[in-house]
Amino acid sequence: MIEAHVVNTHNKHLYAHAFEKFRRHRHDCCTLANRPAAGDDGLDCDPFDTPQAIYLLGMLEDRVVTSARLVPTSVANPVSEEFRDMCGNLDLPRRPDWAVWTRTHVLPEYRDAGAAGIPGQMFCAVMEYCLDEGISHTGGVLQQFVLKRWLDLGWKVIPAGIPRVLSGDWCLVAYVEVGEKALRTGRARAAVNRPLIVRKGAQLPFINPFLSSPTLAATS
Amino acid sequence: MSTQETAVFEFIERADTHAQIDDLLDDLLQVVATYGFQHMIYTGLPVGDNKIEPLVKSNRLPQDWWQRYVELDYSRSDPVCQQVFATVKPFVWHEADEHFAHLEGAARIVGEANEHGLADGYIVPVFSQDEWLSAISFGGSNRLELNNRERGAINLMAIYASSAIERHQRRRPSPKRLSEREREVLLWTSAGKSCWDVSVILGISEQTVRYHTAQIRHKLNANNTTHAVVRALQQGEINLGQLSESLGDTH
Repeated sequence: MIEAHVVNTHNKHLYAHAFEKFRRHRHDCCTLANRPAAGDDGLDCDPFDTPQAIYLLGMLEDRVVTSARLVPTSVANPVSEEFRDMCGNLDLPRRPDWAVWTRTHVLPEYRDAGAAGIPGQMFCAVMEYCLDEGISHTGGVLQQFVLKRWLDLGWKVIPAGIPRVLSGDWCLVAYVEVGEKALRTGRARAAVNRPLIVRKGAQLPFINPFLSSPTLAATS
Repeated sequence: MSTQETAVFEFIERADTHAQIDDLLDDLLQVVATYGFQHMIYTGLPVGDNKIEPLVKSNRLPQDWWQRYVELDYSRSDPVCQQVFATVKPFVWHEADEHFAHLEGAARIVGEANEHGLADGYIVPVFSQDEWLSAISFGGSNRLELNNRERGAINLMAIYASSAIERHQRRRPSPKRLSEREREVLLWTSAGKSCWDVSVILGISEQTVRYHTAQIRHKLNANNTTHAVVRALQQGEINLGQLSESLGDTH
């Protein structure tokens, strides 16, 4: 079972080697999947890799096999900047306790292992992290088949709009309600029997108290 | 947002509130009727020599048509069914590749479906909870011209409905659960072990293994080992992780 290490702008040096190695594989995956490939330097791959972004690195021993990135919706994020028009059913979230979840990558050899496989474990790790940090909803642009997986975990998922074809795949914007029950049902389906989140080095709260007042959130 | 799309999002909010699967299907069919559908089925897709009937999760196709479809094993030549294996993407039935439309018997299936009020339809492939390639297929009496927005809306309903159906079925208590020993026997036999092999591995007599095998088939209403494995996966008696582990032990 994976350990999901929390990486932020203050402790990323602890994971530089492992993450870089993973990114080289991920670069191949992205190209194969006809999605924008990552950049070539460090963690900075797109405009949303800001100091507010956190990364979860799913590791088996010292090897990163899966990853995810969370960005608060109160700052510029992929949904607000690139997929705003896919949110017809929901006002565009701009709240520090709503997180945009992107870059869920899994090394190809770990993709097809059923509900109890690495992807299911990573979903549980994200839910666990969100619960720890007081995040109430997380989501973003996802492929239809991922929506089915989230629902199968017993998660309540709010679709923000009608799916459309992006790079050949049916995708939509959707958000999951974070909660104890979602963590419990997700763990039961994914056969996760223990907490997966691991924290090393300096930690940052996901919800920044200096940016979380309604006024600031609304204007950011 | 159009009234039609509002109805889609309202259906999604209701999808998990229905006490019975039949209520959920009634609701779904009422909403998709505005897109031109009167019938639907949610089923796993058969691979190789397997039959489709044990893989069906919910079925609202015309009964006489379905009976004929199963009896004559139409899924093997059905161009819609075969196209799903090739693309794993949603499509309107009449868009199935010509290659599949020219399979032996395909034209007859399409013609007979038409006679039963299934002139055209739209199919949404999904992976079931046990990771089996499955699909929700909607059928209607007229030829369809769906734009991408309409297709997206139907996809969305199909995904919420398929997951809700499966979660409903998992909650239903099964009167005939496999015992731990029966589960072990099933996993070993699915990995190609003979009754004698299994008896040695588990330290029990060969006769006892045969007894367990008969009990497994009876409880799962299965004709052979492959059928029993499919049924056991569908009913959550075993999962793919256990199955691949047992298969892994044979290499």
